[in-house]
Formats: sequence, structure tokens, C-alpha cells
Amino acid sequence: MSLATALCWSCVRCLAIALLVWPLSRLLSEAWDATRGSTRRGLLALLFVPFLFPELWVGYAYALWLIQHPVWNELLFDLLLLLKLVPAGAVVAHLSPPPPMSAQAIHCRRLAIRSDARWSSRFAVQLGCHVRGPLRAAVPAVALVFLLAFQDYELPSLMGIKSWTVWMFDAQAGARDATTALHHIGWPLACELAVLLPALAVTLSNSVQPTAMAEPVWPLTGLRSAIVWSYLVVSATLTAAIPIAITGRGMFAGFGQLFRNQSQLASLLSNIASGFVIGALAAGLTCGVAGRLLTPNPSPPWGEGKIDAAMLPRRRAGVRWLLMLPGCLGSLVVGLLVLVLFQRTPLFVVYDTPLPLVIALAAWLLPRGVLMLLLWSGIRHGAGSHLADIIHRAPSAPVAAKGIDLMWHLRHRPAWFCWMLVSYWAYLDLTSAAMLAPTGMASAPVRLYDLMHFSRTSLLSAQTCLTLLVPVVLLWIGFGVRRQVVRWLAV
Amino acid sequence: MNDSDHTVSNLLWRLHDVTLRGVGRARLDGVSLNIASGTTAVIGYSGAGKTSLLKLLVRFERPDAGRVESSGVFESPRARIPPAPPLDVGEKPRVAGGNDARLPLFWVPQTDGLWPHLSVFEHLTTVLPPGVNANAAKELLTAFDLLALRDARPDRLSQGERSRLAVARALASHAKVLVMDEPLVHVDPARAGTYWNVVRDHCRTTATSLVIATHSPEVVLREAEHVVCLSGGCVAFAGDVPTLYDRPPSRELARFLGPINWFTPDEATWWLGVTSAGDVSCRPERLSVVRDDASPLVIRSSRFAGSVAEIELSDDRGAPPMTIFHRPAIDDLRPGDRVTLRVSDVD
Repeated sequence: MSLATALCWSCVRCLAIALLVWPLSRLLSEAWDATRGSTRRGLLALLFVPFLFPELWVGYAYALWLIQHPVWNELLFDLLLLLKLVPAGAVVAHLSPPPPMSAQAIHCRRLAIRSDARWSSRFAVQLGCHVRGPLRAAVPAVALVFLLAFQDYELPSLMGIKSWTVWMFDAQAGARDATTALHHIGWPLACELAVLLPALAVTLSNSVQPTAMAEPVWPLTGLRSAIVWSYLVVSATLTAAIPIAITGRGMFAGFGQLFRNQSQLASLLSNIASGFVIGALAAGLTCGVAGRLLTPNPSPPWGEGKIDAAMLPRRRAGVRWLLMLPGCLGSLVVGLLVLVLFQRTPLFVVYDTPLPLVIALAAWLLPRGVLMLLLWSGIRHGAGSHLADIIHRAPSAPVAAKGIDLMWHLRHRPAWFCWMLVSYWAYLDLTSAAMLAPTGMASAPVRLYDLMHFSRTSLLSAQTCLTLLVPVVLLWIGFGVRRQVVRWLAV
Repeated sequence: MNDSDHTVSNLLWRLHDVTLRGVGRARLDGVSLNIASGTTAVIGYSGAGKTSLLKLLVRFERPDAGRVESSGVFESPRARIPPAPPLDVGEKPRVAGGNDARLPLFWVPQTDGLWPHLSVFEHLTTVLPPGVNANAAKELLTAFDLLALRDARPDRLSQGERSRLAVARALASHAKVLVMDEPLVHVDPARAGTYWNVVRDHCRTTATSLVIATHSPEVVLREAEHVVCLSGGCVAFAGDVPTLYDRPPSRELARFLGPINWFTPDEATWWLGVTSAGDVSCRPERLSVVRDDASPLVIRSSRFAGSVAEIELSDDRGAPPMTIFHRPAIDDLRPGDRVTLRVSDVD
């Protein structure tokens, strides 16, 4: 299969998925706004399962199931990818400011159409309204979903699906040096930029109008509620519960084998440790830069966590987007660029160190870090946070201690969650890690990925489980320790 | 407000040529201002810069140019951020209340600034100073009709309930200075007066200073001693409330505190029969409209709005029509009635 064929397949598939994801994302974003308290927490937990559950695990579980039936295999892959990306679309829909043309404005325009107007002029008016309204609002989410689908590697690779990323990775692996693979990257890059640049233009021109009000939130009842909850349960089942069930069979026996083979276990733990440390370092860099990019300077009209170009000084907008651009192109492209940079320049002296991998992972994950910090920006930089700061500086020590606790909840906890999540994504990365990991520091996911193509055994399932869960446990322990430190400080 | 209006000993803030940039235009433009202890109202039309000014006072934002000096509002032994430059005065300014354990300042932001992870009751207990019984929190919840919602979190509250909680939390903090941005604005008018009574009693009994941004002339007149009028990011007036109410410098400024009748010297002679070197202004309660069949003034229309009636007058002698405001005991004037205008206590 040629790169052109794989690229065409990828483009058509990703476009279809992006267009299908949008209405689902809108529905779930509305449900997000409409729910409160524990219902909202439950909804969000289910919503994000498909996006956060390790793709390596999903791919491993489904890899051999329909491999003999290419059409069904393709459809299953498309479905899994769609379910995985709906949460990303929902986040963007949730963060996006209301479009310049609200639903009420469109209705008012519709009421103003004369009854004797021709159908063509009616259609033109309606189309004009929708282009300025819902269609414009859809552009960032559709573009993001397209890009994420387009850059996906683990799932198509493990399921044997035609994709440009698989082609490119194999070409890179077979090439003598990365420059050869880099020569092929022009067309995929053009496809990504063709989607990214219009989306950036729309996002940058988005500015909350003084008169623009959020659309009214309707309670989640009846049919909408049934559709939303059914969708969430089905998606969580397909992307997490079934993969756990499939790999869980015989896993205990696999653990027995693993723990009996001490050298294999030690080697795996060493791979987990190196991947975890590199991921944590990259996440620290990502969150530091993302936090710096979003630092209010000096007069922030911070609102309710909506993406608004006017929210940040325009003179820094160019630098910000320039820094985020590589990350928008995906781990494979970033990995290749960093590989060439460190192979063909004086930076070669640090080529066989973790530095290139840390830089590549940080660059790739920067847009995600920024998006997550934006999601919490209303809380972290809002009036409530400032009041916590006022209490924290109270003359009375007991009141000041309460301020410390408040600031943990409002400022540090969101930042810590962001770091944990980015760490885990960095740890799970395959493409950059496979290309850039220094000798003897291959990460555990890369090691398992090499084995997953051939079979599904109880030993491999146990290794997968250990590889994917140990970092989660470590991150939660770190979170607990950090929380305890804050409590001691407060006391 | 000039230094002559307030002795330096009771100043809370002094702003020197403060500018705060905005998108497209400055939100505050060269503002110089003193804010004294007591109750100060900040008024102005939407977009005038009220919220921006309050954000500077509580240091939620920093000025792009100029200086904001505070006097004891931010200084505290536990301060983590450098305090603002102190006022350059010989005597330490007096901040209401003498208890050093009190929080120096608290804020009711326009967006309420509630803490999403805390219940209604926890919002109050979190800010209660040491030594104050938790019953005080319950009493505040009762006073603001929030007791039934004590375990609810902010996302379960209506806009009005959130407004009330934000104000109740500010009172619970027992801070020496409270800065409130349009407090109780989402509360139904029938109950807002009761809640204002709670705020007023609290400020009086605890010697708390209050800075409020509001659109309501009634709130300014009932609650404030000092008033700052903002217009287009600049200070249009700063002084005492009675001055702005009774002797406003201009018709535009006068309107900030409600309807006013404004006559040029010629108009005063024509409509009132009063000779004056300058403009004559009078609030509705100082203007009497009396039936007089011999008068050339004829009522063209009359609209009664509860406390104030607006009538349009014409003159048989050919003067252009004029709209005036008055406070009738009974709404008994009808179009076609001939009347005379009488002003009491003209300045």
C-alpha cells in the first residue's frame, strides 16, 4: 500500500468521524451544562472513560478479533475511534463561547422573513444565519477531532488498519536515518495544516460579544436523558469494560508466571520506571509552559473558563500559537522533527539522552496542557480564588489555615490533576518514545507494543495490566502525599 | 473626593492617575481618587468602569499605569505579596474597628466568587474569625433566608441565592472593609430591603467600612455617605451624597441619583417665575404642581410611577413643551388641567 492510498483512507475516515462526532459532542456538552452535583460528576466520569482509557489496552483487546474480516474490522475501528474522540469534541464545545449568531437571533431572523419570499431567498437567509451561528461554533471542535483521529497510531497499528501514521512509522523504522521518512511527511503535514489554520483563524476571531449570552440550559429529562445515559454506558462498555474483560481472562495465571520470572519482572519494572520518570519530566515542562502561556498579564478579564481570544494579550498570541503548533501536528510528526533536529545538528551530543524525548513529549502535549488549564481557569484565576488568597493572608492563623486549604482546592489541585494526566499521556506515548528513547531506557508501553502484534497470552495481559496501572497508582500516591503536605501546612 | 472633604486619617485608598487598559479602550483612564472609611457608593452607567475600579481596590487586578495606595487594608503580618505603597501621611490612617485579628478586607465580586466544593454553611464557617461562634453563621443564613439550603453547593443555587450567599459570606468574614460589586442585584426587590438592613446593621455594629458599586439611586441614597460617579472610565464626580443629590454640578451627574427637574435661568423665569443667575435644579419632592385655572401651563400628559409622576407641560405663551417630575400625594392630575409649579428651597 502506498502512502497516497493510506493518506486518502485516513482523510476520508477522519472527516467522516469528525462530522459524526460534532452532534454527539453538542448533545453531551449540553448534558454537561444541564446537570449538577453528583449527577454531573457521574456523567463526566463516564464521558471521559473512552478518552482516558489507554488505547494500547483497547487495541490489544480488539486486535485479533475481526482481523480476518477487513470491512467489519474497519467499522469496529471507526466506532472505537469515534467513541474515543467524542469527549474531546465535548470539551471544546463546552469551552467555546456562544457563537455570534445565537439560536434566538436565528429565530428572530426567521420571523423577519416575509411570507411571500421565494424559497431560494429563505434558504440563503437560513444558511447565512447558520454559517455565522452553529456552523461557525462547530469549526474548532470538528477540526480538533479530525486532527486527533488523523494522528492516531496505536489503535490502527494494533488492529491492522490502513492509516498514514502506520505507513510512516513503518517507513521510519525501516529507514537508515530519519531524513528519509521526513521526506514523505509533506502531504500529511499539508492535510493537517489545511484543517488547523482555518480552525485557528476562527478561534482567534472568536471574542465574546458584550451582548452575547450563553444559550439557555434545558434540564436533562426524558428522551434526551435516556439517549445521553445510554450512549455513555455503551461507550464506556465498549472502550473500557470489554477490553478489561477480554484481557482479564487468565490474567491471574499470567501474574503468577510474571512473578515467578524475577528477571522479566525486574526488566518490566525498570521500563515502567524509566517511562514514568521521562513522562513526569515532560509533563512538568508542559504544565510549566502552559501555565506561563496562560498567566494573566496583567489585567485578566477572566470569566467562566470560555476560550476567548480577547482573554489574553494579543501581542503574545502569536508566540502562544507558534509554541502550540508542533503539538497540534501529533506525536509522530513532532517525534520525527525532533529526531532529525538532534541527529543532524550540533545537538547530536545530547542525542542519546532523555532530553530529545522529553522535549518531543512536552511539545506534543502542550496544546492538551493549555486546554486543561483553560478548563479550570475560571476556578484557578477567578474571584473565588482571589478571595481564598485574601483569607490566606489573614492576620489570624486559623483563618489563614483555611485559606491554604481553599487554595489547594481552587488552585493547586487542578494544576496537580493536569500534571498527572499529562504525565500519564506522556508515559503512554509510543511513537516519539520508540524513535527517541535513549539506549536502555525504552518505555514499558513500547516494549509491550512490540509483543502485542503477535498474540494475546495471559502473561502479556498481566504485563499490560501492570504497565498501565502502576503509573496510575504512583500518581495517586503522589497526589495523596501532596494533599497531606498541604494539610500539615494548614495545621 | 478631595483631601478637604475627608481628613487623611480616615482614608482607605488613594488612587493616583490610575489607568487600566481594556480591549479597544481603557477601562479606567487617569483616575485619581480618595476613598474614605464609611460607606462609599460607586455609580455609573454600564461600562463606566465600576467593576474595574473595585477590582483594583481588592487587588484582583493591577493598574497598567498609576498607583493605588492602600492604608492598612492589605498590610498584615502574614502578607505573602508585597503590600501596596503606604499613604504618604504622617498619621496612620484609621480603619474601622480596632481588632487586629479581623480580616482586613473582603469582596463580593460581580460573579459571586463562590467556592464550588463547599456547601452554603461551609462558605460562612470558612471565613468566620476565631472566637466567633458557628451560631453566627446560622444567624446569617437565617437572615438571608438560606438556612434551608445550608448543605447545598453553589451549583444547586439560583442566581438570587448565590447573590445572598456571597453577601452573607462577606459579613461572616467580619472584615474591616467590605467591597461589594452590585450586591443583591439578582434578589427580588420585595426582599432586597430586608437584606440591606442586615448589611447596614452589621456595618454599624462592627464599625465596618463598605464600598459598593450599584446602579440603584435608592441604594446610594439609603446606604452611602460618599459617592463616586464614573463615566467612560473617568471620575465625573466624587463627594458626599447630599451634595450630589441636592446641589449637583450638572444635569448629567444629577441623573445618577434619579429624576431631577433642571431649568436654565430663562426656563426658571418662564416656568417657575423665579429669577436666578445660574441653572435651577430641584428633585421631584421639592416641586409642587398645583391646579390653577388662570395659569398658562397646561398638562399634555401625565404618567404616575408609584413614587414619582412624570408630566409633560405646554405653555399657552408658546414655549416649547417641558417634562417635569414631582411626587404627588394622589395621582389626580389629568391632561388639560392648568397648573402652576412651585419650588421649595431653591438653591
